[in-house]
Amino acid sequence: MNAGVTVSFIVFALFVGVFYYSGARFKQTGKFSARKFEALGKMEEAIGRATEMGKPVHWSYGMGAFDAQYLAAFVLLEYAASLCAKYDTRMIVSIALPEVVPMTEEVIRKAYIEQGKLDTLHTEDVRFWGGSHNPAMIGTISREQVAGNFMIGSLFHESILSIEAAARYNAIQVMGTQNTHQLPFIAAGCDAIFIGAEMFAAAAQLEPTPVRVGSVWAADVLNVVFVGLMIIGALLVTAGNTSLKTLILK
Amino acid sequence: MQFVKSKLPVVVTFGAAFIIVAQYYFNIPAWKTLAAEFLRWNVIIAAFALALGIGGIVKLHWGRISRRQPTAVYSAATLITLAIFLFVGLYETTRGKTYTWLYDFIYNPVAATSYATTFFFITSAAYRAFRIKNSYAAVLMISAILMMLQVGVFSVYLPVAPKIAAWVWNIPTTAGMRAVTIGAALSVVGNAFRVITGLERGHLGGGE
Amino acid sequence: MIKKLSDIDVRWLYLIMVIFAIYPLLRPIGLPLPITDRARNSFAAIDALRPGDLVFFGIDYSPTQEAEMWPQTLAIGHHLAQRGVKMVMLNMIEGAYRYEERIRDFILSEYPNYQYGVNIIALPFTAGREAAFNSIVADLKGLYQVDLAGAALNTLPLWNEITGAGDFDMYVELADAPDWWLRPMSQVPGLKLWNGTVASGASTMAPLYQSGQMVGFIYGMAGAAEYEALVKKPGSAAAAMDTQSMGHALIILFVILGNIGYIVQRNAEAKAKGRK
Repeated sequence: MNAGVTVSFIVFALFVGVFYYSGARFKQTGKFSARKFEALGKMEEAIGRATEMGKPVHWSYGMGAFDAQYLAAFVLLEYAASLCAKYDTRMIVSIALPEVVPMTEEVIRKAYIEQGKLDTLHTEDVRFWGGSHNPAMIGTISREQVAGNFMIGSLFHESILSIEAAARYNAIQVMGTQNTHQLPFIAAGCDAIFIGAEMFAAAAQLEPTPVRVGSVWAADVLNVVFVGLMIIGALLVTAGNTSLKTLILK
Repeated sequence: MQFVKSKLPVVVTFGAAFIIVAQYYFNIPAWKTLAAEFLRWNVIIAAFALALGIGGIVKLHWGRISRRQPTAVYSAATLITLAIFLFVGLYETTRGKTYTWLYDFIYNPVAATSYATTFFFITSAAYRAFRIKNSYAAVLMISAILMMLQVGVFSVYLPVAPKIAAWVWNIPTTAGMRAVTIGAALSVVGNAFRVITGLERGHLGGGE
Repeated sequence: MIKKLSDIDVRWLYLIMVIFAIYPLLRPIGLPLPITDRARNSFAAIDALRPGDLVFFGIDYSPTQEAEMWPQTLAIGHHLAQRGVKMVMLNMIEGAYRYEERIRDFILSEYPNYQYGVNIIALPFTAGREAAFNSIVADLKGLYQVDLAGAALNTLPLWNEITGAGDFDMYVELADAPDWWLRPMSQVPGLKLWNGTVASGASTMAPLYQSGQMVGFIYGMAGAAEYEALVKKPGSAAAAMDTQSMGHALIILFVILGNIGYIVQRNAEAKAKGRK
């Protein structure tokens, strides 16, 4: 084994073990509970309000590169698209990355099919903007005077542009990212947010499958392990003992 | 066809990821060489993805022009600009005089202007968002003001501000950021594991 | 009247902000600029490099971040050149190559002891971001065959001295926020990491500096201005600090006015409810 990776390997093995165990347990019991996410409720509220006002809602993943956040965003997009299909409300999607376009179309199509509303789907509302995503997004929000604004994914400075553009129309805004540099902006400007791992937990709550539940459980168990290690490590280092640090670096 | 669309990507992902992860933990020279090769391929594939972006832009805007949508004129402007940059870049490379001029005096100011609009949005966002609606909002507002006071001239006339701001920065902010980072990283590990093992196929247009 | 303070048309705010931003640029006020301990320590980390040490100089920002990042690039470029280190420049962001070209040409013109290929090399754009950095760690020499100008790297003496990423003493990354460069580069044993980023990226990177994973860290216009002062090369960042200070003062004023209006309005609404 390479030097300095022993603990990392043990953590990885623990993760895989908990992942499969909790996934299998969920298969048997069908039980999974997570606290209620305010942001999910706000999404529904925004779409409901948009329906009453006869206005569309807007969705974007931000401009960051394709990463794990998109996988959680697809589930949340499906949830929003289902509600839009149910209430006959348009959802305009602004996209920066070309590879996300077919996946987005597929997710939205699936949501409309499940609601039996495929004939009401506006395919032209999935809009690929590439590098001009930001001005195009601001223009779209302003022209359409959206009643709800959702931005979930790898967000950069476009989050603040989107927030302020939609705030002019008193849109209900829900955003989520694990890009820590944008969290202060979205926390200040939105009605509700998903902070980092909450996006993944919300995705599991919406569609609890053994794989998603296993993943959330494994992350939670390791979170607890890490908190425990941090407390023990802090106490040991304070007492002048660096043995845990040495062990972790082995 | 179904194999190529859904099974093959999973096999390729698993094979490449297994080698890369395994060589991280175990010292097997042949795997290390193979992993380095896979990473080089990744760079080449990423370069092709940029070309895919050009294809996507052309398809979208050409469609708008051919359907004579109201925004067709902007689509035409986009395609003409793309063609000019592409032609000049291919003809005289990106080191050429004309391309450098286009970059420095067209692309650069336009991109910088787009980012600079954040200046206005942040102003109105601060004015609108930092209202003391509850105790959380008050904490947010006070922290924001402290952060602004610690930079530049204020720290000279108000020397206590940087000290308090440094505490906010070093203790609660850092603790919060680390918590978010660790939590998010674990979720990413979970997602990566699902993708590598083919349990998650959302990125291939399917579910699980 | 006071109630209206909570609902000012944002266009007025924008207009006032423009005036406050432009005035100090036209007539510099010369407000004092203190140097933070963080900037001093970051300066000291580069200052501790010895002539001949090998340094990666990553330029990873696009024109959108030029205002904050180019002054940082110039100031740090000055410092690295003053220390006489051997530099290998690289870029991983679409559009960043132009800044790499500019800083390469600037160093070659300002510092006669620098000769291209002997003690400074500029590598070309590489797609893939984190994957590209991973590839640098795994096999730097296998990843690059030509330099930024398209010349074969094996004709450059400095490149022939290098065997891999492990030969380098420091990685200086000037990036527009994310930490995707840090994860791969921190795998290189003994490589010191140093970062300059935009102000909005500071909250992400600060914990990594605080934990000791990075030996240096500056951010935003203020970081650039401090560094300009430390290398004694005043530039555009120092000049723009008047604007930033004025801007911050104005935002604080807007926040206070907005809150006064909000509190007055809330009290009035509460009173009206009470009467009902």
